[in-house]
Amino acid sequence: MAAGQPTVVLQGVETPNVSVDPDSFFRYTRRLRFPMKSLATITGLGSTDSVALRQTGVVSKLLVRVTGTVTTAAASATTSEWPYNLVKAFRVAANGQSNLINARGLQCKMLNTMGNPAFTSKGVARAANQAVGASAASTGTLSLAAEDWGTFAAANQMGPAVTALTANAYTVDLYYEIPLSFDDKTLVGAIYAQTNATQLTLDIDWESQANLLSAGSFSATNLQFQVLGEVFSIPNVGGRYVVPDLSAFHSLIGWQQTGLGQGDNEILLPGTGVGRQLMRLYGQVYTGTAPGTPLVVNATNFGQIGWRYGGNDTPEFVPIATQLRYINELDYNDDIGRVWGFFAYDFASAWAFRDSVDEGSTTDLRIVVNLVSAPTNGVARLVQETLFAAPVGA
Amino acid sequence: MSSHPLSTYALTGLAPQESNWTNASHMEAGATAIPDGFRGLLSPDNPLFVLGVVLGVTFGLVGVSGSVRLGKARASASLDKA
Repeated sequence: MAAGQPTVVLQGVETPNVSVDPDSFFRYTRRLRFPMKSLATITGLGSTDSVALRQTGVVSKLLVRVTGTVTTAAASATTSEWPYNLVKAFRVAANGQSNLINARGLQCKMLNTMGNPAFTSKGVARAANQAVGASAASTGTLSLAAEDWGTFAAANQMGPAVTALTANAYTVDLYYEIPLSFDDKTLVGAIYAQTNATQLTLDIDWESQANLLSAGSFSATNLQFQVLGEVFSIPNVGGRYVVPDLSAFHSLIGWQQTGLGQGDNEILLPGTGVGRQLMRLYGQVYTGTAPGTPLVVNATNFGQIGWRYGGNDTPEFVPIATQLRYINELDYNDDIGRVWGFFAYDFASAWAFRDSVDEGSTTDLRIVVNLVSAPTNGVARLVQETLFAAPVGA
Repeated sequence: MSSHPLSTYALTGLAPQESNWTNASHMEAGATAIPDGFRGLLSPDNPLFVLGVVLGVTFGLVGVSGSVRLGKARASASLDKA
């Protein structure tokens, strides 16, 4: 910025002078989609790729594509991490906030479905060798028909927990959406990027081969990735640069809890505090030899699921988890508990202003997951989606 | 911003923070707002106004009953010399 130019502080960083005027912004802005990272070979499984994002406009989301081939040795077998947890974690740092996003690939796919009910995997058939538990699925896979979980031929396809893979090169084409803003429409939580005062970075942690395969090996991997940004221009209206209300950051943080047992498991949410608003809380329970297999949400596996705070305040719980699976399907137009075993408490889909949970007034916020039987190496993989006030906002 | 239908608060329920602490109003409990500028000087809630009244009355009485020396000039008045 030129010397002497007036500045304001937006999302904690000094920026050229802009006015907060949502009406003018939404009327005159232009949606832009362009590559922030063109197709490049990944550093390698078990490693990390770091991408510096373009510093322009208001960044709403990142679209990541992973494509290429993997060649398996004979008699290889995948774990349930394949295919979406090929990305062990997406991590985004922006405007002084490190790890606004820190979640697994599958958890990001889940949020895509939550935030966009038009996005459903209903009718997207995955063959018997492409679904968890080796059963065919045409709903709840969180995949779209345009995606490829790994194909050599119609009879030779990769999927989660597939055994006896033959030695072939399988094509792969996966798509992820990294939601920097909480909402595609109103851009709450979007990142103000039109400044040199900070650096925006996306780190992609690739899962290790040991966690992707339970037997055999990859004899070769030729995977590439690209990052597409969805950005909104900052219009000049009547001599003023205008932006929407950017007073909040959007955060998607995954964490896990080991040592689950039979009966009620009360799992504390990390990092709660004043100024944070919980929008969604979702997760899975894995059982078996690490990395494990997700438990399908049904009455055989789960009892009650609810959330709790304080001593024993339990605003919401369902006595049998299948009831929650039904509520989730109503909300998301997808049976999320069927294949990947997701369950969710959603405080945002109906009316966030009314339903979202103020973490400042709900001490010791926790999720209660009742397991019918003791799992083997039981691990809960959970995600909290929050909004929190930017340090110095608009 | 908090009342705007497109504000973060209206959309999500996230309570707005102070936009800038230098703009924040730090009033003690029980304090009374005093208008800015010349109107503030005439506000009965302003201690300066009370002080002004006291000084005005004091020097007013001095003026009508005695004399005030202002630099080299000397002004005097007395009801007896009318």
